[in-house]
Amino acid sequence: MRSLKAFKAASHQLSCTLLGMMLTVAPAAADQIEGTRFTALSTALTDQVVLPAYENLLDETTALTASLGAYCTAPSNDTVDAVRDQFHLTMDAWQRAQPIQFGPIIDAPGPARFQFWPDKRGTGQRQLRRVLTTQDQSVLVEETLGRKSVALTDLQALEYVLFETSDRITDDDFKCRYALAIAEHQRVLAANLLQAWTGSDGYRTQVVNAANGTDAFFDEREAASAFLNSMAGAIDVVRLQKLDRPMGLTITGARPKRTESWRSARSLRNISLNLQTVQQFLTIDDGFGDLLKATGKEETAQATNELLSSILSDVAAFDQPLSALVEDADARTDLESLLSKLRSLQSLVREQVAQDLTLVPGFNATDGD
Amino acid sequence: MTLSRRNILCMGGATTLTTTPIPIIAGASAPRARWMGCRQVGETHYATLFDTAGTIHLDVPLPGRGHDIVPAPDGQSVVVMARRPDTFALVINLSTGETHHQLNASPGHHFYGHGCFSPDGNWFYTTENHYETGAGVIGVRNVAQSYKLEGHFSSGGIGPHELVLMADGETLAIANGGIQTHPDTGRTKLNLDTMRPSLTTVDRTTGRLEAIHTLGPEHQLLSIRHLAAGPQGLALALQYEGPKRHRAPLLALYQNGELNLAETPAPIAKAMRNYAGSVSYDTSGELVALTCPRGNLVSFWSSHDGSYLGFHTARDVCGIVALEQPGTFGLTAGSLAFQATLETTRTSAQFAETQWDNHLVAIA
Repeated sequence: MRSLKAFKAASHQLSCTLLGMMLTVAPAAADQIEGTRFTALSTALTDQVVLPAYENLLDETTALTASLGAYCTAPSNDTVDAVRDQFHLTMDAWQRAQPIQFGPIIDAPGPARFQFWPDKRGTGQRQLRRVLTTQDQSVLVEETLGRKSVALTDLQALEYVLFETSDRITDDDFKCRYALAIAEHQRVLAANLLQAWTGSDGYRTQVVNAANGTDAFFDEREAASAFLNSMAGAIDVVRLQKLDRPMGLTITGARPKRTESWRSARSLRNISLNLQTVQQFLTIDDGFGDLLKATGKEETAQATNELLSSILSDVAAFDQPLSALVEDADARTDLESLLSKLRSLQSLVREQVAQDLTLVPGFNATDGD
Repeated sequence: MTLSRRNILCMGGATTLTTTPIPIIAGASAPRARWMGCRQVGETHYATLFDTAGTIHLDVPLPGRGHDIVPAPDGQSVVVMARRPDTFALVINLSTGETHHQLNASPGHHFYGHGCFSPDGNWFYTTENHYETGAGVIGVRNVAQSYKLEGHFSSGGIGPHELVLMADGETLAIANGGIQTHPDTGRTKLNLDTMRPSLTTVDRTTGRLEAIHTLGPEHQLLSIRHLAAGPQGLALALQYEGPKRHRAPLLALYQNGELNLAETPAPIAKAMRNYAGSVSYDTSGELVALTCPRGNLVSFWSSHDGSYLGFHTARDVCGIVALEQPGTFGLTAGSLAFQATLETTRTSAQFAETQWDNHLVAIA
């Protein structure tokens, strides 16, 4: 076979003027990072971030089911707070897992089965109101609930039931039983998701054995790319859906009800949790930070880490819910600065980290053309 | 020739070399050939006519990402096709760079990115998706009447992508990828469970389906996307949609009425990464070159028996065209244009901030 090194048209920048005849460009840095390093990265991220996140989601949805079960059997004003607290812990678990954007979570109907948001046309909310108005009994049984629209079975629906209108779902047996049915459905989904990763020949096997080629990955570089794209995708979601969209172009275009989880006043908490998972991807042992350092790209690791820490402190420093901040003229500058930092973080990850680790997808690599 | 704005900007730009020293290999200097391809520069898409010395002759901004460029037989104009699932095509005058016509897919249809002319240049054929039914169709346009759409006929399959005119001048060969998509779900593949890729031949005048060739039931996940016509038949570029643990052959040859996969040694099958982007015969018809942008390589094959001959690597290589000299190809890869034979490669020019797109054509 002709040597791989016979010719390598590299991607470095030159002017468009004549290079000179008879030039062949030297091998680029691509493929010089050993495959085992990528395998170590994917294994570490799977075992230290992905699986713990999904285990936590199962634990919290299980606890939520128990909490709602207790509450609906013997409602009291004491326990409604306990139920809401447990809802928060469950949503925390989901928000930590949300940045994992590949693997079994993508299987139909996708991540929306845990959280259908944003509901841009309000269709989910209309269905939900109808169920509550008509007291549609079919939502109370897992067998029939599981076949309904994700908008009726997800954590957004549960938030609506637990936080909308009054504090007294105590008096409403239907609401209580519906909330319990959703919680139970979420527990089943979380259990299935974890099983899809950890079961025999599960997705974990696909990831850690990627070097040999698996159903999901051509090789270990493709598996590593899935984590990188996930991280970049999570930053995109925070920036565009969670911040930019509710902020509007100017303050007059701000839409507080476009903030995520505004009913439970936890928009910023969600953002922090998403970004903490991104931080884990970067900072755990054998994570992206270590891989960058091992390949002589310590500056990139440091720059990414510092920027992310600074963004996390900025988010933590706000003392009002995001739904209030987007309409607050005094907060506008801070929010815009946060947006711009997120934009920088996104290009650091998508461009610099990808380039340093030679994981940049080719312009012509999109399938189907 | 006018100097484009972009060319002026480029000439003013600094040259920055950021890699290790450049080895120089021997090779004869070639006369300047003119090539045309689509490219992205920053956020903007262009159809660009350039020569192998790096001079840009035309740089036409496009409404979106382009795909194939189809030269008219008279040499005066080209049609630039939109990338799927877009709906525009521009007819561009090669002397002035002016857009003579903008074609649009008819309601309920989008283009798949490829087209071809009848030998007399009177008719223009495009692969299209009638997306409510998912049927693959060929649009027939009357060139003399401003490319007016005369009608559609069936492509004989789902997801027709590239089509070429066969040596008889009367038969269209169509690569039906077999993959169904709908504009509502972008490029998402809707029917991988049931996909049936095929090579069909159709009488271009009557629209009559003459033959449907497949790779066999065991290769239903090998999508047939791109085609090249040679003196003895056709070369087909494939992409594999199955489990990624499998390494699939990506070249098939259609000769003497038979469609056969090229025997592909395991190491090259792995290196090609299950995806070929473009294919070309050389001018002698002896050699077939297949570009694999995911594998970052161009591979060479005998057109007689499909035997594998060798490869060169080039990051993000995809556009390919046969050059006049037998055995020689022009290629684009990332921001680079280069020439290659089985034995040698020679960089022609590099274009600042450019990402060359999938296809390349030669312009006289």
